[in-house]
Amino acid sequence: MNKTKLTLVAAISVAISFTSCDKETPKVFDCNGIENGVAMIDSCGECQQAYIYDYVTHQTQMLEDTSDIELSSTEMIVFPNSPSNPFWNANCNQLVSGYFSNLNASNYTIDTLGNQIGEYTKFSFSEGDIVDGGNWDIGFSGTTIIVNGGSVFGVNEPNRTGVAAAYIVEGTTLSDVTIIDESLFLQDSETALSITDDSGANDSGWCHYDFTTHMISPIAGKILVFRTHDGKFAKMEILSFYNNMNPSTNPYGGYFTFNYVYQANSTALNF
Amino acid sequence: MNKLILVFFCPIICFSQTAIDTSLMLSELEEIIISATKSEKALDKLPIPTTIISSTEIYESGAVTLDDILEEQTGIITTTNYIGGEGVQLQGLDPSYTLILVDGLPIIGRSAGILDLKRISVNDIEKIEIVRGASSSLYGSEAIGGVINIITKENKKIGFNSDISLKLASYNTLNSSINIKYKTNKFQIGNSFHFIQSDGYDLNENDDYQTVTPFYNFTLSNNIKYFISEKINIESKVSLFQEQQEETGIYNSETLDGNNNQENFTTYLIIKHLISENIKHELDYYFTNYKTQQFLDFQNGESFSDSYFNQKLRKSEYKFIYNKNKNNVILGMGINNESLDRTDFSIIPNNTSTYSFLQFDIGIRDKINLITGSRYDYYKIYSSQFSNKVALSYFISKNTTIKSSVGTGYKTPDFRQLYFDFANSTNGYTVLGSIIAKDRITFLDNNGEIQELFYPIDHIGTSLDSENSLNINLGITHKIHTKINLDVNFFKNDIYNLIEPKLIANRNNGNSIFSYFNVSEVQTKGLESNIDIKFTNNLSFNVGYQLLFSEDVDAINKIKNGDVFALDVENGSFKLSEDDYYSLFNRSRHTANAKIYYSIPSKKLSLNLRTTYRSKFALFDSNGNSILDKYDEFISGYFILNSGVTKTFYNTSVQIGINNILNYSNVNYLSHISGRNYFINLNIKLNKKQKK
Repeated sequence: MNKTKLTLVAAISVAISFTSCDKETPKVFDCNGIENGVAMIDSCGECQQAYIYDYVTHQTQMLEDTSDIELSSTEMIVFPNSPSNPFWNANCNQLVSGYFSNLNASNYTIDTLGNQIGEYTKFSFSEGDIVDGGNWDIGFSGTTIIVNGGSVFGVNEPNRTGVAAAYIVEGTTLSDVTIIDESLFLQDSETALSITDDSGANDSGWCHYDFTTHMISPIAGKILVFRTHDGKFAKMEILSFYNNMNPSTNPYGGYFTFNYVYQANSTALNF
Repeated sequence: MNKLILVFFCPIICFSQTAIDTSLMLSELEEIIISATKSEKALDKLPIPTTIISSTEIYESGAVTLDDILEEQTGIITTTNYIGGEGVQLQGLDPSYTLILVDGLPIIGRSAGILDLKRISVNDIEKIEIVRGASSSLYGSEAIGGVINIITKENKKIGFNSDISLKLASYNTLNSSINIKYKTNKFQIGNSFHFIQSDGYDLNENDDYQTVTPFYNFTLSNNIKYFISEKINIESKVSLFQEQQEETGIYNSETLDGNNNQENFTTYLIIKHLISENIKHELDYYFTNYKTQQFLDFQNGESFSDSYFNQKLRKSEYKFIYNKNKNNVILGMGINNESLDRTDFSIIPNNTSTYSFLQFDIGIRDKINLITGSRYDYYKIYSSQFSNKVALSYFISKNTTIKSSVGTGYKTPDFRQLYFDFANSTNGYTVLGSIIAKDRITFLDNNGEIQELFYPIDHIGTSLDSENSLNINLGITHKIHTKINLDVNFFKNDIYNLIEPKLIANRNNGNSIFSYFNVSEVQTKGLESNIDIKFTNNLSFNVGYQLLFSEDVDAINKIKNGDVFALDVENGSFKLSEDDYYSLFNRSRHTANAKIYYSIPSKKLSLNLRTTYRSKFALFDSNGNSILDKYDEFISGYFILNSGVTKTFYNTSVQIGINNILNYSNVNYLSHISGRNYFINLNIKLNKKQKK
């Protein structure tokens, strides 16, 4: 607030100094094109307006001009850079690209019923590393990937404590996934995992299983999009299921190598 | 490649200056081929692309089993699958699309579509005929890529003929054969016995497995022919093949031991009757039974796995043949009955089919030979098939002939695709043959065990049908010079309704259920060519080359739509363009062979040097799109170089040779190629002429 006042004062003083030199009064426009308006450009370069907010009905009314406004008892003016303005810096990307190799998810066995039993290795996008605590976003065990959101699906899975969710985009590349479609997010549930785990049998998950070579390979062009445990976003491309990407020395796999991009801004819906 | 070809030409230049007279190796006798028309036909008149491998070539190469000799032929590659059988790829088509016959009779016992050529001994063989291109109009199912027919030796000389051979080779391999034959004017009998024993070999000594485990096998056969009168003769054949191979395995670091036993029993009877000079007819009956028994046990004797396979084929065919001047008509009809009892089947299927065929072979004014053939196969559980072929040759001049043929081929669904009832508990999937899939899925669905169905239930198990093909050949044979023969053939095969497993349902426990559907389409096209050069009667050289393009039509369409990506482990996925598609798996764009035969009649010595080349190929996808594109990992091209020397003294010949001189091997992917190996072979002929 103070900064705005200062800039306003500065702007006015500049205006005054200009007027003192010229005869014509120069006009000051805000980024919305309004003379002496209060709209401001946020850190992402987007023009943000002030608005009237009704804290009972939660209705908002964008303002072009803040002069001559009468507020009802339940209304307030929210200035563009107010900390309570969710639009301010809302689309700012806070992107972190990362690469993680040989995440070990190989500590599992398959029981006689075909169930996979074993430890989950948990990963946090904000840490860019394997984590033990409840701040994990996704977990790996064999070919299974779980998210820290929703409910437990299978045996031996950690409890979900966050709001994480996921979906898969097919036929694209990591850099071409730029928009996050929140309507596609699914959380793990008692009946299904958000990332289908078919062990590669029918290509509905992230991998393909070759019945003759018994190799698991990531399906080219499949990008996994996640909401993290605390409501931020990430996209990820799995590059290999084998230690050092070498199936001949590690035929059973369970080692994930992947590229990811983490969007630390929980309100930015793009990468 | 260029360097090696130069190496090949060098000895020609050297040898060709030492021209030696007298001949014996290549006679100018007109070659006869039976398989292309089911009747005797002069090879040079035939409008269908064919190859004949003579007994001399087989003997000089030191070949023991069928794979040894076929892999040296133009346009033929022997390939293994994950089960280990060694099959044949002809005109770029998978092994399941080539019919393999002995004396015109089909050999059974395919495993995952592959008939293991290692089972078939080349002892006592007169010649091998290879007919290229669809031949279903004569042979019915499976003859899509072509037909390979092994013709056993017949008694030619009156009297007592026999030969014994003993061959020792690397890996403690012992081969011995005894052939005893007796012939009079009215009667002939032949017995032959071939025994092979080997310690196998190990391409990777650091792992716990041996690449090829020790085995032995024998083939015993008897052949009797009796001339009831001048016009009627009757012939019978009985043969038995048995093999036992050790098998080992490891499960949870426990060693498993077992055996793999195979047996093939065959019996055959044919009556031929010459009605008049121009008309004959014949009736035959064939029974063959192929059995395997495989088991692996833990060290304490408990069973780990045990499986069996028992296939029977009964076949009877009647043929009526009219032959006058240059025209030939064949009318035939027959019945097939096939059954299979095996592990992972819940019933024992038994199918009967009947067929008839008609073929006209017409010569027109010494210039044109026209062959048309049609065959109708009646099936009950899938569509009946009507197969046709038209072939035409035109003799432009004494030295030049143009040949062309168009034919349709088909392959019925095999028993596995119809009746398989297999559940893999460790990987958690089920595969159901199309016939039993519907009942099984309905049952599971009613019990609430199905989580998701990917096909409407009425669509499951009703639609499996034969795979079909269209084959076109266009070729030319040209005598460039009295000593140089050129043969080029362009071919194209289009196979559609290809059967593949597809996911039909997911169970509640997440396990997948697969069944078979007619889904995909593939094409192969290219050219086969041979040049034979006879420098002198004692020095000959031939080169063969095949250019092959193959494609999965569905994959190409997906690439065109921009739906196919490839994964680069450094940089992630990227979209493929049409030019990035390479071929079907296990196809080499270039394959070639070259052979030099040189003989010194005065010293009764003959030498040969033979090489085969295969350009790069890939057995599976390595970049996440299930198709083969140019960014995949390939197995590099390679040469195999073989050589042999034969010296004859009186009635004995001694042969020594080295196979795979360059010691090429590929531990992971080409286990059927052993390293360099040596052999010595002793063959004694005992003939006694009977006085009339």
